[in-house]
Amino acid sequence: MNLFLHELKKIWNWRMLALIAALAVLIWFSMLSEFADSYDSLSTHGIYGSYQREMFGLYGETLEPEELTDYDIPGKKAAIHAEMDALIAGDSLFAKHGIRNAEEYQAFADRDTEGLGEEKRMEFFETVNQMISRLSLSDDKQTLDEWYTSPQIRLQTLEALEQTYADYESFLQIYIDRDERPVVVQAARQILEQRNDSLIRHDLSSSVSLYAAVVGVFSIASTLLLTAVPLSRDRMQNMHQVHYSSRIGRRILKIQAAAMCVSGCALSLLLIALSAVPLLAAGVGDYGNVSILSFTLTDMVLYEITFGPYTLFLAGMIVLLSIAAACFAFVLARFSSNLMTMLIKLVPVGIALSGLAVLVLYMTFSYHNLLFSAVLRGRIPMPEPMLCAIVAAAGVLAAVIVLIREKKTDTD
Amino acid sequence: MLSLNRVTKQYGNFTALEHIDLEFSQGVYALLAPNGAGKTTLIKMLATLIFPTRGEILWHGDDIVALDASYRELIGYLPQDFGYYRNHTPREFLRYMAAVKCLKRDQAAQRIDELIDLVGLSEVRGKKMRKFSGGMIQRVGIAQAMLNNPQILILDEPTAGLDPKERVRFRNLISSLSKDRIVILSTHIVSDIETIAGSVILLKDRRLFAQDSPAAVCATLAGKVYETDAIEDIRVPHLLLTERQENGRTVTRFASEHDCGESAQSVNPNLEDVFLYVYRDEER
Amino acid sequence: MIFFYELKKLVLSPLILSLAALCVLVNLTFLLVERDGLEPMGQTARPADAVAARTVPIFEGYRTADIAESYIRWYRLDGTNAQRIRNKYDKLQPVVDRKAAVGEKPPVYFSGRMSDFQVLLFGKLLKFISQEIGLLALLAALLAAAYEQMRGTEPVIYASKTGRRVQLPKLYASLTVSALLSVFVIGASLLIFFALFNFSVPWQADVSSVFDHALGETKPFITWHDLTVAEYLWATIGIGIGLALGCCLLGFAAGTGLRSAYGAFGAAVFVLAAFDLIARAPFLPVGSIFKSAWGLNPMWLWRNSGTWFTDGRADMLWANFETLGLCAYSAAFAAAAWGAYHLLRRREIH
Repeated sequence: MNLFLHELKKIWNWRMLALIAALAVLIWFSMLSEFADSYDSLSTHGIYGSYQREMFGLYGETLEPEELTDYDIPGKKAAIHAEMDALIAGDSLFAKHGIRNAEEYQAFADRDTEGLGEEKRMEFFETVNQMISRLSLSDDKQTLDEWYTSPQIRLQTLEALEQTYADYESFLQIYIDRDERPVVVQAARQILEQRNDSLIRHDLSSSVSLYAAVVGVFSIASTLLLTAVPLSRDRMQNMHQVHYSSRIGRRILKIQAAAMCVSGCALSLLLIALSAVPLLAAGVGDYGNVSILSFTLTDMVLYEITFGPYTLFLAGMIVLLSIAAACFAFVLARFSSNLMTMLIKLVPVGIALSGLAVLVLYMTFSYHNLLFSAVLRGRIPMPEPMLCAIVAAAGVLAAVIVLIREKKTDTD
Repeated sequence: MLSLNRVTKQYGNFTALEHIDLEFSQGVYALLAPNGAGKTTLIKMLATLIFPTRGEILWHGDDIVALDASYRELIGYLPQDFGYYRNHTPREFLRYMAAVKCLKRDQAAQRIDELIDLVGLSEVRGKKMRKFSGGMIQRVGIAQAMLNNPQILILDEPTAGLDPKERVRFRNLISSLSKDRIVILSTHIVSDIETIAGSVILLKDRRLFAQDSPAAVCATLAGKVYETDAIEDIRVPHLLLTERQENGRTVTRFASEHDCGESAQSVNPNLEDVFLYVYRDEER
Repeated sequence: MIFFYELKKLVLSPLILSLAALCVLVNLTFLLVERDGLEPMGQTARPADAVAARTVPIFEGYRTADIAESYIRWYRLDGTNAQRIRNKYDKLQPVVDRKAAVGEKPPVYFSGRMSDFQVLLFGKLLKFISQEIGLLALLAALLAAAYEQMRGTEPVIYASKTGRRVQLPKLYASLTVSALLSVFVIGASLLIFFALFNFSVPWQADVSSVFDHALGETKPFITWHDLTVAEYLWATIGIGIGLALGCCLLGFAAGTGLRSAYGAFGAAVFVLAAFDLIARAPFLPVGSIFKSAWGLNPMWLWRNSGTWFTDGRADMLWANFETLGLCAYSAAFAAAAWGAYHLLRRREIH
């Protein structure tokens, strides 16, 4: 135990921790702080405007049919149409094209442009854009909040909300009928059965998974930076010969491997804990008990778990990848006679693990996830944590093989 | 002539060497001091690896730091921890060293062959050095130091790692090399220099303690070194030097400022006695 | 003479060679994956489309001020920051007018056919290659600079006639190896690209006419200078190699200036990470001089490799930003390398 603590002490040196802290500060300001800053804004400036947030506030985690009725989307739309009618009636641009109300405007905007010449078509699009601007109350000084409260955008976001929570059946049926990914079909059926009732924020899992991907890549890089040096330096300074000929003998390598793994694990947990604080402060915890299984116009999250365990999955994957990084660092350090050669080996491994982290952590459990969709074609459920476990197991296995081999290896 | 003029070396508040005045002309100079006394610091200053904090080192009156390459082309240096390229053969390594010493290619090739023969590595000249013993590596080190036929040969603990046979061979080699150059070697192994050094330099308490011929240095202890097989009978204050077994008896060699009468036999002091006597208070 | 020895050390380094081979392998894998996704692209476009498309005069009457205004609206800029963007696009207007006026280079507008090619070759492959060769150059330079320290041969070499000046041939050798490795990785990767894809473009046509629009945007692909597709490819490769050599100088500066190889690597990584991360930071407003100047760093140039030689995006205020960035940072890294070398000459070797 004493020796293990000594090895830990060698790994956790303040210079390297200072470098990691400096990089962490940079990453926070350049990438992660944006999440905390925009968290509130995204709940009112997304595809559903502020409607989805309002529904979550009113009805809680799930949306029951009577609650949807109570929310009265058609009534809200009718009110917006009335506002638009008033705007259109007093605007010469609409009058010039014979448009008197919102219904006629919609018909005009939806008209088929097939068969129009290039010039006519461009002219038509320009006109429609101008009309949209008028109905969006656009001017140079308009703020984003003002834009979202304009009739045009309120109508658009309300229609998006309606498509998601009222008209979801037709969209899901398309997936059930046509999608070639069995897991997506299965999820679509399940969402259909549950009437797409989860009121989880449409951007939450994608935003948090992107955040987790950044933390994951940073955790891997930090683990490699922190853990690889002491073992390599020991070998460079021939300390291993002293170790091997001492009473502890070659068991020292086991202790060093364990110290590296524990350090990787501890560092990743520390980074996860630190990075979770701003998320919780922003209010992500409010969605802890909301199911992620949902369909929105931009995403489909595939599994019936709540958001709390989802974040634990993300954290677990980061820890597994960091352990893998520590194990690979151990193997590479064992076979490097100096720091430079170790670094040259470490860089591609670090890049590969970071790539893998992005692959599994970004859009985890969504049908957009690259590993799930592009690589495995949606055939295997939850491949993301599986791959992390496989990579961690491969790292541990490689380390174990090196440890077994070391028992019989001549030391030079 | 190489001279040190009140050279001081400091690392922050720690003074490694203080006010060292020395002069070197042709011959072998042995720098004798216990570990940590500043031998390597002095040697590294002579090799321009580190620089004096105060004072100067002059070669024929010119500062060696200012002389730069024109000084370094005169020296051959074997450091205490001699680094080498493990995947090179001695010949490849010496070729590279010849290049950094700016030797002409044909001149270098001939010199490399000569030196490989001289240090006894002819049979392994084509083998990678990773398989070499410590003694063989040290011989490669000596060969590289000799590549440019240096006027000043600086050797830091050159016999470390050599077996007794190799050490004798090395002593003979140094002796033959010293005829027309300055050889400065640092060691704490007294037997290495006893027979070959023309001058012994003793450092103590970071300062120059003595510089003289071995005989003169030994003479400072004349009449103060004794041997006895009954050390318990010696009643005067004394310093134990060495012990050896002889015909089943333990013969003890000691030094004393006082007359020991007939209980001990006065013997001629050697460099080892001087070393032990001078550094009696040093932690070894 | 020493140069060749130093060159040999690097060229025969199995690690560096393996890493270069790995880069090519990664590019091969990437291109194979992309080929599956872009299968229809390899087929010849419908001739009717191409003929019809030839008549589209994309630059005639085009107003660069519209680009400026769309950026100003998008980023919600005002004041001097907005004015700087307007000024830049005002300067671009004569370029567009000239392109419109040049009779011998009529626009060959491929109506979207080129887009995927353009994205794949210039937006992705050459970007990856640039980053790979930059990394290779950085590591090669670090290896060269720290070589003697790692092997404990510094004392004997620094005490020789060449002394600490041995770092200069090391620098030249690492620059040479970086260039050689760059040529190898670029050559092999492009060879694979052209073998896998039917990239039959009019090489001598103006690149602004051949490429539909700027990568990821709706504006035309407007280069400050008239470049053919072939010239554009060579110029892109040239900037890529230039950036790699810049990284080599950075690696050399770190490896020579810092005694610890790991510390040197950490410092180089930190510098590059800082370049990238600060450029992303939201506190630098688009249109500001600082944002634009910071964007000239190698990391940001790599990130925007698809916009080289064009107007760039809103955060770039100056014409030929890639050449400007390359020159500025090469000079800065060369100065750092020179400084580190002089530091070494006065440094004590313990």
